[in-house]
Amino acid sequence: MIIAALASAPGKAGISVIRLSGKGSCGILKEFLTSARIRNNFEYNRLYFTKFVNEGELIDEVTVVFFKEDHSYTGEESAEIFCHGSPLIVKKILEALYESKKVRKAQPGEFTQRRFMNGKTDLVQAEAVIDLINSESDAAYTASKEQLEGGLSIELKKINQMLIDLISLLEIELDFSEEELEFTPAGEICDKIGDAIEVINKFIQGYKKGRIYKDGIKVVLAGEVNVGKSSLMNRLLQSDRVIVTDIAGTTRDTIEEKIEVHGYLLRLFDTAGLRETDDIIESEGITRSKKLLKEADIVLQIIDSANEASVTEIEAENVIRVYNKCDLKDIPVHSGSVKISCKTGQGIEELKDLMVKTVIEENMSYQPYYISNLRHLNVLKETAEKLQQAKITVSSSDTNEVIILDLRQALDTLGELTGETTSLDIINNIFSKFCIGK
Amino acid sequence: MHRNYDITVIGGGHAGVEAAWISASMGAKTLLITQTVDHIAQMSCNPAIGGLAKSHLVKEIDVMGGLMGVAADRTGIQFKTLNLSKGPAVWALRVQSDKKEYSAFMRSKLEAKKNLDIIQDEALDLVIKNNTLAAVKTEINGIIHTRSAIVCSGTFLKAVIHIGKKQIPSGRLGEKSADSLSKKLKEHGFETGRLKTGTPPRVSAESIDFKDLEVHGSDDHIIPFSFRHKKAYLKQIPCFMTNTSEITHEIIRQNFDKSALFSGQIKGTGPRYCPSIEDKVNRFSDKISHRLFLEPEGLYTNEYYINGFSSSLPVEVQKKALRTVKGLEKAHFVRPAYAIEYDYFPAYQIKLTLETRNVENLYFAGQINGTSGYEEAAAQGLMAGINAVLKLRGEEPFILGRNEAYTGVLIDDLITKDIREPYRMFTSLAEHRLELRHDNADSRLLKYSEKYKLLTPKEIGFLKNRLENIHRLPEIFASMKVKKHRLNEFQTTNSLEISDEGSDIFRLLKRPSVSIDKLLDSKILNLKEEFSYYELKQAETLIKYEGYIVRQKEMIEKFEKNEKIKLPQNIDYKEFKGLKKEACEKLNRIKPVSIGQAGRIAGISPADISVILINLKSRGLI
Repeated sequence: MIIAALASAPGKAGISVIRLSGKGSCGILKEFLTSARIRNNFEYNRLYFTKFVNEGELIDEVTVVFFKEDHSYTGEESAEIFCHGSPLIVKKILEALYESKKVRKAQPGEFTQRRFMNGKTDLVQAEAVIDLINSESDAAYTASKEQLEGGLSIELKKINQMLIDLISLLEIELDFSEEELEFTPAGEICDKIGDAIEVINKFIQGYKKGRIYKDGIKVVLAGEVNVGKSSLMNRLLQSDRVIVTDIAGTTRDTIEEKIEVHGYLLRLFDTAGLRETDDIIESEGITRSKKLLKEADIVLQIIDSANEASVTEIEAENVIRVYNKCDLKDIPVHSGSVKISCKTGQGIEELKDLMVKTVIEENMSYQPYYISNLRHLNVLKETAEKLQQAKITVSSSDTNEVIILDLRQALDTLGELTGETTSLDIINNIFSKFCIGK
Repeated sequence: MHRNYDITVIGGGHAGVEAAWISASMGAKTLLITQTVDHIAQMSCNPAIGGLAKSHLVKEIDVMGGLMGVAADRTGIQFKTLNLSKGPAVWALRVQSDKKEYSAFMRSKLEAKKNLDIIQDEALDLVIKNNTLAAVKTEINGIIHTRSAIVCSGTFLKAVIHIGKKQIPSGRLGEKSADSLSKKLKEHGFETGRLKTGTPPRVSAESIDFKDLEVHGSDDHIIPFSFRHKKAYLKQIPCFMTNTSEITHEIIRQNFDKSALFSGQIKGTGPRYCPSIEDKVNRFSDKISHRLFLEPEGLYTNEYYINGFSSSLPVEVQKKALRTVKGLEKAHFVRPAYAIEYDYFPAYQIKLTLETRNVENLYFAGQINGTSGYEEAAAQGLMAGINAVLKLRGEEPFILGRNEAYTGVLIDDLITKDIREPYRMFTSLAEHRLELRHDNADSRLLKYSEKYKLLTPKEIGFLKNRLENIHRLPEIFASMKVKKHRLNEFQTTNSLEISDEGSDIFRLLKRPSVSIDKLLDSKILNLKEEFSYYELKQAETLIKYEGYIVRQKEMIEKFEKNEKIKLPQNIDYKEFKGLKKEACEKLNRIKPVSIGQAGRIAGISPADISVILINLKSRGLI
């Protein structure tokens, strides 16, 4: 069955793109086009300007392109229509296609699913497409694109190969103990397992960066009531998004907004000020604030420069103390803290720099590929655990077949990302590296 | 001779013998056709049964009513347990057997067998009607009607022996190649390939100088293959070890061009795990020496088998090279080393029952399916025999899972993996190895032996009782408290720390440095009256391996999930949307029985599996 759907963002735009995929796509589309050249004999991978007509009614002037199966996104015959970006035109074109009875509406993700089913992408890459589509910042875009190009898959396969090599070294002692081979000492095996764990751990640590690229940096604005949290929020957003009054406890619910700083997505959460209260709504807000503090990548602790002495410690990972109202009282601050004025805008750029620097440069060394997907993280964590177990088995001087049990479990787990490894791969690996045969 | 048989077995080698034996045991009227009755169960290559991973197969054959273990024990002249420094899952027994005795023992068993006829003849063709086997056409006896046939042709199909430039059409040195059957099978639509294997020279004992060679003798405590036996029956004699030198290698190197293997004369693929000496010298040029084992071919012959020196070089070169080796300076060659090329039928053409997909009631077993080794052949022969009988009875087939037996791993691998070299069993091919030990074949397979009546009621009773004892023992051990003062000396010699309240046998056995043997030797344990040594050893394994066995079982459960998703056999994978063309062809050819098996097919990726699952789901098949 041919599927069709709007491939660009819904709503008004300069151009909208409609994609058709499935055997016969080109033939169906051809029927609606007026160009004689297309109707007689079209070429693939070539743009044609023509008119889209349904039952005599001209719908739009469009540009179309036809793809053969080996050159299309989905891996099957497909076509794309570039029409004017009006929701009404898009609707009319799609309805015309659906009415032909040979085309149906594509389900969400169905184009990528077909691409996956046609073997044009592996599972990790398919997941990256979803991430790419959902990316909201430059950094997220780059991350997904690298994953899409198979960078991550290649890196994971390297770990896979490390494990196969390791298992081969141990297997050879079991299956070829009668051969005149030099066997690997336990210490070396331990080191090699350690190497594999290290590589995996890099990915696990990189997850934070990956997640930050994909989901953004979670910044929570916290502090006592009436210190100017909402004012700062508005200042960062450059709008009057949040209601600001002199009344303590104005913000009761959590408010989330996004900004982009130096290519990174920052998700700002304005929270209810922390204080004892009888107000049910406000106290629920405070509960939420506390939960957010735990999940935050950065906590901005807003402090009224006039009341700096009475500040309490906030327990969170990255706390930046932000001394507000410095236009009223200028006090000296430590490095890692910043003084600002929401009123004048003083110190705001400095604060932005500091936020990005805190998360991006402190925690992460450079890594070309990293994971940003929770499923990948969990698989890698489990693999690392199994390897850790194998290390313990080696050091408790258990025999090879038991160590291999751990390693095979690790390999099986990793296989959920990279694909199966069969026992024959291990045997082949042994043959390629050792002289076997007495 | 009857003109009508239930089952006709073509070929009297290790596969054919087991097939004929089990088929007759199960009550089918059976015929065994062999080119030479004198060569039944001939050991064409090394004079040994078992070895790493192969001994697991022998143990399984033994529990399932096969002959191989019994014959090896009865004719064994050296018993050696391998890998003892490793865990029990990879222990293995290798028995050097007297070649002539082995063959004679098998022959006498078959001759005495009820329901079984043997004839010396050659099968030339099969008569096939409506894609179903109808009869076997032989050279001397003409048409023999049979309901099923099992082809166990070994290396005899269109076989050519290579010694240097010399090429001799022959299935074993001095024996006729079977050219007709292979040709006819091709005409019946089967696809063939070529494989190569080789065998080393045999040298006479009086020409060997043994005095400086390393001696390898039998185990002190012999545990034979068969559960029926407790000891060796023949006199035990040793093997010897020596080494090649750089001078040996130099001679071989100078004559590379004369090797049939390198000159392009041999087209078939040989096994990488059993390379010829020229192959070893060529591929591993940095090695200054390779080991050679001198194995006696029997008690009443002076022939020695030079293990490690198989070759396709001209005889003069073989002699010149071997005579540079310590102890073999004056070696007299009784038989030369040679390479042999033969037809095999890639095993995607058979089902898990070993029945061919093309022709109903026709089965292939042994080297014809691309395996190497006596044990691999025997295991297939046995399974083909059982399944041929079950099919004639209209019963469900008998298929062993990868999680149940090495035999199961073997057959599954043959079908799913694209085998291009002779397939040999390795323990690393069995992913559930810790559960598939060579010492627990009975606990894994007894239920089938009972179901299909592969053993006598008495034998089944014996095994059941033994298993019960083994499983009772851990509890008995736990109840056997040992006072601290009795452990004083034991504690010191085994560097143990025992608390003041003492210990019990179970807890002691959990310690890595404690073994049943030590407990028996030091008289801390005295159970030899009630339990056999075998039972005590088994219980020890269960206790020591307990934690790992539990984890292995978890893996097996995970594995079984995909085995339980059955795939319909009448499906055309071309109708599956999104399946790559190559994947489609493979799936249509092999018709996997489950998602698990589909995933093991060479060239089928996890993505293909996802596609299959999506398609099955959309058709409401799962």
